[in-house]
Amino acid sequence: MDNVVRLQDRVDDGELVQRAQRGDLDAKRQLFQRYVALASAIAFRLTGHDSDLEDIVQDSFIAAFAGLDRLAEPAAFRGWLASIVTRTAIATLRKRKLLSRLGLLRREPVQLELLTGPGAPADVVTELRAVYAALESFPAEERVTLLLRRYDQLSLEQIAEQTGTSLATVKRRLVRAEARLHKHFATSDKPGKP
Amino acid sequence: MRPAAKRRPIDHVTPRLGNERVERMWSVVEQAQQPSRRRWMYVAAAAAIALGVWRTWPSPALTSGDVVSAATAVSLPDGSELRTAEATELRVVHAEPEEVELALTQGRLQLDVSHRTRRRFAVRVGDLTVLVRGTAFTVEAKAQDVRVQVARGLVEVRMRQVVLASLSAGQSWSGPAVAPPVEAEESFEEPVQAVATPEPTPSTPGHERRPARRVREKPAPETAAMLLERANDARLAGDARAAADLYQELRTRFPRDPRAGLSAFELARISLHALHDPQRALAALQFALAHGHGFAREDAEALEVEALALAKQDCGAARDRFLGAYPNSAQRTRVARACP
Repeated sequence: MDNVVRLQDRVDDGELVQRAQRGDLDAKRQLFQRYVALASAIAFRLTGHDSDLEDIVQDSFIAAFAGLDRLAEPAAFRGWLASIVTRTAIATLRKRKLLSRLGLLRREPVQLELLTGPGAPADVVTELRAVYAALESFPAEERVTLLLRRYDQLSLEQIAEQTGTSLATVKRRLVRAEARLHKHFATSDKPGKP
Repeated sequence: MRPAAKRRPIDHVTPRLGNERVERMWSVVEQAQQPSRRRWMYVAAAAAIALGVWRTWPSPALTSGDVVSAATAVSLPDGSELRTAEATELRVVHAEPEEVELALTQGRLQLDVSHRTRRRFAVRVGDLTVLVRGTAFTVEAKAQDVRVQVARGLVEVRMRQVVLASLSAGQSWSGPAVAPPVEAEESFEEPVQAVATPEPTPSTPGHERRPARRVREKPAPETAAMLLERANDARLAGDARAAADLYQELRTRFPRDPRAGLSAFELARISLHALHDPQRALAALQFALAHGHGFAREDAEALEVEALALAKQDCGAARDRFLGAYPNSAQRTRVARACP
């Protein structure tokens, strides 16, 4: 069986993180390649803006690599990175909102036509576009909490971990966000409203 | 990937990620992992590869009024070096040893700025200003959007007088070059006047003489925006005391202005790190935390722990509050070290 090519065993996250902690650039590159799609998806789904994606992903990986020494459990890199990306996305959303309020940033509507892939069913596209359009006016934390719960289907505990907040805060934000969403659709369903 | 039947609606929200995009993001992350000098060489090499070939002219020095309209590598009177890519349009508004101002209309500009404490170095793109200390960085203007990427040093991105971002090595910023019309209580615009330059001088390949330059007139009554600009200029010029006084003046005279919270934060930072006055920093932080706008809050709270420790006050409660609120903060180690 000389012609059998053996695939290289996948190195686990823990080993890569330990090598990265020692300054191994190749290990960092492997971690980046392994999780860039995850980080990009989180950034894109939470912000709805492709223009912020690269900055959020880059900043998150730079922060993650700079803080590797603080990661007590090297195998937990994935979840740890996800929480950094989530918090970076929240900070970006808050900053965008503030700059818009100050008139320093064009209030760009979410790019609905770029939001979903070509294979998405029509009803899903309609729902997602309506929800993302509504979320534009939400406070960043409520928006993210709602998306993680309702669409990413994370548990409340997982959301608390990913957003770096308490369970009580997650519950409070979720209640507010659901009420806001309900009010938005109740108002927009009235005759004469778009 | 989830099987199609089990796909959630959110799984259809996917970004477009090509190899080129992934590589571009990795190159920025990788730069931040390198020691500074190596990082600069890496950026220069990467930029040269990405852009094809840099055409190198015999390094003529640019002067005020010049227009660069091709790929070139030139020096400025203050010792800084400048490279432009093909199809770049760049105007040299001022090129004096104490002030350099460039206006980029389109294309890509790479700078290695010499370090001078009293020199103002700015790159303008539309309403956006990138203010520079001794730094290597790239500015790219594409249609109405701008991308700033820092390889070394410190860069400040401003929209008119308001600071949008402070970038250090490995960081980047992108956004629109033009501010939308503002229904504000005051005008951000500074009056400018065109003055003819008396003698035209021969043009060099790649750049030619421009007949007019802009000079500033003194504005009339001082607004919060003007105060902020003066304060920022003083800070960038290294005059910490003057900057602190101006930030203080802004928050006292315009306490309800949106810039007041940020001014108080800057005042706190300068008071603590440059003037070594933790009491003044604490007073400013109290205002910043009450009037700030969220995104600087984490920084303000970290600074508060540091200021309390330096003022020899009890910092334990503030430290625990910070560590509890921001368990994964990049400033966690600094805070824990400031208040052991």
